[in-house]
Amino acid sequence: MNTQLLFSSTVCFLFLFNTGLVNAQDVYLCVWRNPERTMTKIFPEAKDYSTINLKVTPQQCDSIEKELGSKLLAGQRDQFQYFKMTGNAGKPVGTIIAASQKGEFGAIEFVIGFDTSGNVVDLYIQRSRERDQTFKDRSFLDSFKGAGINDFEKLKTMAANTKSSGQKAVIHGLVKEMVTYKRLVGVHKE
Amino acid sequence: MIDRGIYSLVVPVRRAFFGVSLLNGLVLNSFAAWNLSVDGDGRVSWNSSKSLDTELHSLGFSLRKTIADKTGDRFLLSGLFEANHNFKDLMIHELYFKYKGPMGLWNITAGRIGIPYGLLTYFSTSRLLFESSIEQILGFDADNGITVSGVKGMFDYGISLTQGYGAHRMPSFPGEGFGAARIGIVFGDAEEYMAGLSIAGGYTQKDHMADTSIKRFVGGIDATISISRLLIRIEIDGGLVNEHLLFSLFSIIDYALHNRLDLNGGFKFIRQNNHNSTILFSGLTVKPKWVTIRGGYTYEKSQYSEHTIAVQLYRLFSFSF
Repeated sequence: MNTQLLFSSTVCFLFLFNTGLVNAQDVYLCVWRNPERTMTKIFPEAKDYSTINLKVTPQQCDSIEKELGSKLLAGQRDQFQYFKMTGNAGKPVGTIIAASQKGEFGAIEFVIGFDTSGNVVDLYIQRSRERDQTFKDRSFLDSFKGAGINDFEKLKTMAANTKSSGQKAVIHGLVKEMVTYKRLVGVHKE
Repeated sequence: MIDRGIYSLVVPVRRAFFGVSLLNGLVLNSFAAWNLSVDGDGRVSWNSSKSLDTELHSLGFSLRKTIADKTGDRFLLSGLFEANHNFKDLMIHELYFKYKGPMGLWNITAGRIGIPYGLLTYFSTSRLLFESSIEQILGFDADNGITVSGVKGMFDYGISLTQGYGAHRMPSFPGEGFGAARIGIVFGDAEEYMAGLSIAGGYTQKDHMADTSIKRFVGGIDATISISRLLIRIEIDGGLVNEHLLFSLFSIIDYALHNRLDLNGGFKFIRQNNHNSTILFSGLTVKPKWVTIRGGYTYEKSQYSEHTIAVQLYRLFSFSF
């Protein structure tokens, strides 16, 4: 075996079989192709946006999970991203969050818009591979319009009352983003 | 973010990192984070004509940073560096600077950029066992130059002017001259249906390291359809490459069997230089928590028949800091 092949094999082995970073591969983040397309559907008045990335400390992660009553997914436990939407003269018009939640056949990715008072403006599914498609129905997605960022107990009840795995995933994802946003953005100084 | 990896010379990689370091010094006050992705692609394959082969197919490093001004996100800096084929081929696959216009209406990207053509615009097969025909159609998937791209409602577009050297060579001015453009349309409330019309033409190097150039004029249509657990991608291209007719049909299908298991299929037909080549692929993708395992069988019928069985271990790390 030549030196180059031995070196390559060693790198390959260490990289691929490094179980110390066990969750690094299994990441639930929304991969967004053309963010502006959906952003302008939710906030037609938006003129610009800023991407905000926040670190999530282990303590913040614990408090979010305690309030949720469930664990955050890999990729969501140490970072949180949202988009600050602005209109004319830089006036804030709302917030966009690109969410990802585990579905029956992989991740369901969707985008939520909140107005400046923390109420849901609209919700769009971005990518999914589910057998159950009822969560894509406009009537289901429209039912969240106007829900406040503190209304997650009502949403948890809604999740308990549906048999659709896709609908449950979207509601859980929405509640998760509401709790995380409320916990992190309230304490973050930009 | 598009699924694209990282690629042949130690010196350009070092220069690229130096460039990134300089820019970092200028933007220390911006609040957006750096994102570093590292991916590894190891493969074992048995081919009926070449026997057994084991290699570290690719090791990639991708670095991105969005820089905001007082009104919003304005600049994007992105680099994609790759070591391929057991470190024999080191390259800068992409290294660009993007100026973001108002709400995606227009963006200007300069540097070593991805070409806005066909499925390649949003989907790269460089980390898959079944690869598209882009090398035969354009000669490369990334090149040095400038792109104007954007999105307006259900439409999106991209127009690029590049040198025609590809990503395997160091740039030298002015280059051969190559242009490409794609206009796309998206349907469906959840953007389930995408279609695009592309055109490209100009002069490119004959192959990655050749000093002779050839003329290309090609066009194509592409579609991406997502129906429940099924994802279908298809592209049909035709044109003239080096004064010979080219026709290509490429299709790749993924079907989710389980949360961590996909069934994959592919079909490719190419007519080039008066020779036909048909390739069929079937495979499985298994996704445990810490690695992606792909396995597949490829049958190729051109002048001879060829059978390949391959297993790939793929792993991606992504960090923000």
